[in-house]
Amino acid sequence: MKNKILKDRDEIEKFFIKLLGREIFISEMDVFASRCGCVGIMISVRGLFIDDVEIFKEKILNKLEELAKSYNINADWIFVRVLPGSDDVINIGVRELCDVCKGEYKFKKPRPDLISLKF
Amino acid sequence: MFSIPHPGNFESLKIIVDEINKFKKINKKFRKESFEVYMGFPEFIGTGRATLYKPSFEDLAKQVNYAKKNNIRFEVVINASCIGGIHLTPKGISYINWIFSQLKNIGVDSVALSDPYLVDLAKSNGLDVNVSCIALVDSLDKAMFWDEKEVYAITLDSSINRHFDIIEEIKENVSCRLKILVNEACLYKCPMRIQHFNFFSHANAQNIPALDDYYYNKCINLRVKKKELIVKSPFIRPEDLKHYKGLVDIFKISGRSHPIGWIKRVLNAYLNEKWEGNLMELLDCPRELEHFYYLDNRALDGAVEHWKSCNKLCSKCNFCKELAENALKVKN
Ligand SMILES: [Zn+2]
Repeated sequence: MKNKILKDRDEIEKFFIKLLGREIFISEMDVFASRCGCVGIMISVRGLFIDDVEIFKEKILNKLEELAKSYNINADWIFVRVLPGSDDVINIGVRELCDVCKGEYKFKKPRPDLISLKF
Repeated sequence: MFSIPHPGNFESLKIIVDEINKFKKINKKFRKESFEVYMGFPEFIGTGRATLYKPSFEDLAKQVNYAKKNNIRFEVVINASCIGGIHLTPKGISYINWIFSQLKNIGVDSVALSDPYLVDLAKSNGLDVNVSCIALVDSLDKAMFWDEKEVYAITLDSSINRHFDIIEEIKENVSCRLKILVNEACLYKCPMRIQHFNFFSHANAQNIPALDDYYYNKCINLRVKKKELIVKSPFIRPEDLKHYKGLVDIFKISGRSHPIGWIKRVLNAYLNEKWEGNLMELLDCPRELEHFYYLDNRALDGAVEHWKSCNKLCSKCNFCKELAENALKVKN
């Protein structure tokens, strides 16, 4: 498992660099379980902007779904988190939602700083 | 003199003292060198950086004693950029006076402050004051203002680290000591500096459940987008300290919120005035990028000569941009 996470962080970074043709850094990739029952993957990204995500949305979604599947996580909700009022993306999340969170997050913009790519 | 970041717990202080004593033992040159440590004291006033440890006065007293026995000055940092006005209320004044009188009793050598009113209160309690870099002293006029308060030292705003003409002018006209941050690598003339310090000041003192450090994240992204910003940030390489001797009195190493092993590494580099390899490993704030960039320290040899005479009109120059192309590589 340890080696898989290490390899996946590296791979997702290379995926973005290849996709956009410039430096994008993935400083951390976490696989998590929440108290509520949600499970998911959280990726901290540096150098990515909303425009990039919109242009390559399909490819990014495919890649994240594939990543989630490899951890046996259903990608119910895929989103990016931006810095308020800016177009800097700082987190990418893939989440298998619990029943409570499903009601809270399954919107195009569940919170001003969150943009759903798949919901 | 060297000013060394101290995370605040006794174990860390012992490691720092051991390190200094080791240096004094093996190298004659350091026997004459003097040292101070500084630590955050995040009472209700807060400080300009994340503070990881809140010492009691009793704990502090033991540490001050220990440092003094080892001939090391002890400075306490209370340099919030915003206090929210409570310092000018009757309750606030008596509370701050009480804190200062305790620090004086304990034998703290100096307090780093950024608010002129707090400086006056500290002075009236008999404490020596170091004007914090958060006071943003970047001109002679500002320096004179503080010097007239008979402070112990002024820590220059790091934005003028490479403005040798301004530092010279200040040096010639003040009687207090000048302190300079050597490895802080904030953005040159950062437009978010005061807002970021304000955010820290309140977040530290009041436990605000902030969603995000907007400024930090923005800072990182700016440097990924424009990597010359990393070279332009006004750090001083260990090898370049000699250019500042005679101009400034105290070399302050930044990084009291980092682990002690990091502090040891940086201290070693600056005491030896030498570093081989990735300069990112010595730079405080933001450390996150050291895993992504390799800043070749050797490729920066001699750049200080350009910065000495550079007029900082960057749109007409491009020196730093070209230097970044050569010296800064993305790590595999
Ligand atoms: Zn949930």
